[in-house]
Amino acid sequence: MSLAGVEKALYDLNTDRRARETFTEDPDRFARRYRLTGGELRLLTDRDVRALAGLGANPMLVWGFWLMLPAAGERGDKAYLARMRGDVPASGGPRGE
Amino acid sequence: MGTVVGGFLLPHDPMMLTHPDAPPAPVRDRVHHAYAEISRRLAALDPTTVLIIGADHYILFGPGCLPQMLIATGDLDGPVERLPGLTRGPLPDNAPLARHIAAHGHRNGVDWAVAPTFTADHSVVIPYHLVAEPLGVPVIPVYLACGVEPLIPLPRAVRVGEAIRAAVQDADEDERVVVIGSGGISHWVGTERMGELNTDFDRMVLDRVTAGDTAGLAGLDDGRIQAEAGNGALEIRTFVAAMAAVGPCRGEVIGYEAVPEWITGLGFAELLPLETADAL
Repeated sequence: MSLAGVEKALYDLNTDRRARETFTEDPDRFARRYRLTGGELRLLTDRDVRALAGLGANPMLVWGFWLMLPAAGERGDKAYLARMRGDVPASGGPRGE
Repeated sequence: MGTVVGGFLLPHDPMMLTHPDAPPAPVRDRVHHAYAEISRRLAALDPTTVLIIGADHYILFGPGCLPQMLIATGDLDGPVERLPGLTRGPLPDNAPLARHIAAHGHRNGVDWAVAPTFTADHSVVIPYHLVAEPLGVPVIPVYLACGVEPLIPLPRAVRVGEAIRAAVQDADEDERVVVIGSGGISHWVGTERMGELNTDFDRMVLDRVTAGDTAGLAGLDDGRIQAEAGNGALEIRTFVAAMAAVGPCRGEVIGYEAVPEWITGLGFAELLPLETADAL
């Protein structure tokens, strides 16, 4: 696992529309660009914010990621906190903006 | 010769804009009154420039470059974020003074990162919008590494404030500078404790501000701050830098609200230089 690579990916997803488009349309291509492992990519596609924070990613980046690309049907701070606290399990599958 | 004629401490909570009606009306009213009171007091100081010390939120600066301290020295605009009620647009600058502060620091051991063009984030634009924009006074944004490792050590934030003060006093122009430290007190940003507050910690910080105890605030341990008041409370670096820029001072608390709906302990204070405070 590379924390720096994950944080770079999160930063770009939070600030760069083109990065979000690539991530949404072709997650594997996105992962290659940031040299993410399959496990790291799954943390992003699963919106596993709790695991991302556990990895050591800056919580401001993780929250920003959620605000930009929330899991389907789980938009908002309450849903984010439910995931951060482990009340709701992460689920698979990339979601669109 | 320039003078730092005063200072203020205030929050920059973006949830005031994204969730404006979340807290009870009396709380909202007191918060807005505190900003208005600071704006009134700021006008009374008749500043030529407002220097706002903000905190990056991993928005402006990415893993490619993380400055410990940055000063914007040229064209300004902001905010970089899309926030209700704020339209991104140009901000009035005082580029000559900003360049002077940077150069003075470089000559005296302060390694400013400089931004000849700069788009500020909410930590500068919200305070500017609420307290300084009505005066049309130019702004100099300064950013300290408050939320992203490596953090600027608190004692170094003091030295940044001292460097600002020394540079202003060395300025050719007859500047009247007001320094604003922009940050929340207790708040957990993006962690599983988001929404918790610690009013005891907030009161302790404001007590030290009231006493003008810059060294006491700068002596707080980052581990303690994060454990007791959250990662957001690391923003008190902006407070100690502003206090050091004002110089020997005492604080007067203008308002305090613990607002869980906005996830932050919000403190408002004026920093009164001792020579001014003694005369009151």
